[in-house]
Amino acid sequence: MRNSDPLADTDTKRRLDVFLAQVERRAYRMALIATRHRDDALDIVQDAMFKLVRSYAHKPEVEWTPLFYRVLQTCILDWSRRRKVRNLWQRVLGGHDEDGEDPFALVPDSVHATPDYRVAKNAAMDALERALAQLPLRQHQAFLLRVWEGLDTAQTAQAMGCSEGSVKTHYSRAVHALRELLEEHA
Amino acid sequence: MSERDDLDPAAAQRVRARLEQGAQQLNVYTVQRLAQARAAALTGVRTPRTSRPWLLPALGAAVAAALVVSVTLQVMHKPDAGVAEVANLDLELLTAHEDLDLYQDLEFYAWLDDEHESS
Repeated sequence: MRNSDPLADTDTKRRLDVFLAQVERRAYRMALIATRHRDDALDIVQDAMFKLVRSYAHKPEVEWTPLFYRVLQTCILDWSRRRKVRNLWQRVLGGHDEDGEDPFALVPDSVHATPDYRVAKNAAMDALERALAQLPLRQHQAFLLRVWEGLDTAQTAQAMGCSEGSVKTHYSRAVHALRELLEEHA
Repeated sequence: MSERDDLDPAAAQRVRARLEQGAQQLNVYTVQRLAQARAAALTGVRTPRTSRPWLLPALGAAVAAALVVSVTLQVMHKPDAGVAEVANLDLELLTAHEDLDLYQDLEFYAWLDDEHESS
């Protein structure tokens, strides 16, 4: 039976805090690769956290990971749909198109890093993230959930809200598209 | 799924390491914002959203569109109002029982009246 307020249980609250702290950075990077807008990515992660806590805190802890990524991917898809509508209206009304890259998203996250660090930063990482950002949304979602988050096909299907067959297709296409780049930087 | 459809474990490990590197090198602002978002989610109190820069041009466009609609409606309705006024006047004249010649000869009657007074 669903607990009316699972957060009243301090142990659940503490475990949720630990869980969210473990996934928040990866979630942010996933959202950033999809949106290329820092504040949009932060808002998406915040929305996903709220929805997980509000709707799924009562679920067993082992289910939190696929549920959180399900919510996150839904938030990213919603963002993508809203952006398409906004861009359409802006084109109709003669405004600028938001498909352009957010200049702030191009600023390295470690803006306070030393020059030594920036020089040492792995160029392959930048190339990989740029390539991922160019993939269709569903492909890079499947790739990141499988490879980075380590979800299996069934969990990825649950997180993406699609069939396992679709996950395999998206993942396979992503791997093929990225293979050349990965071999180049291997 | 064929071998070409999947990454070999070593390549997958390299990709994971690179992505993880990016996640661990977030700047202080981003780390703080994530911590605030987490705390807000656990307390149920949302922090203000930040990503609404598109609202300003959207608002401007909405105001401009409202102005265009308003002016267009005025332009479209004003001639109609004028035509309706004239049409009403014409209708009154056409349906009046008085002789139309009376209206046409008013100047003559006015002159006749002046002449009569001065004589």
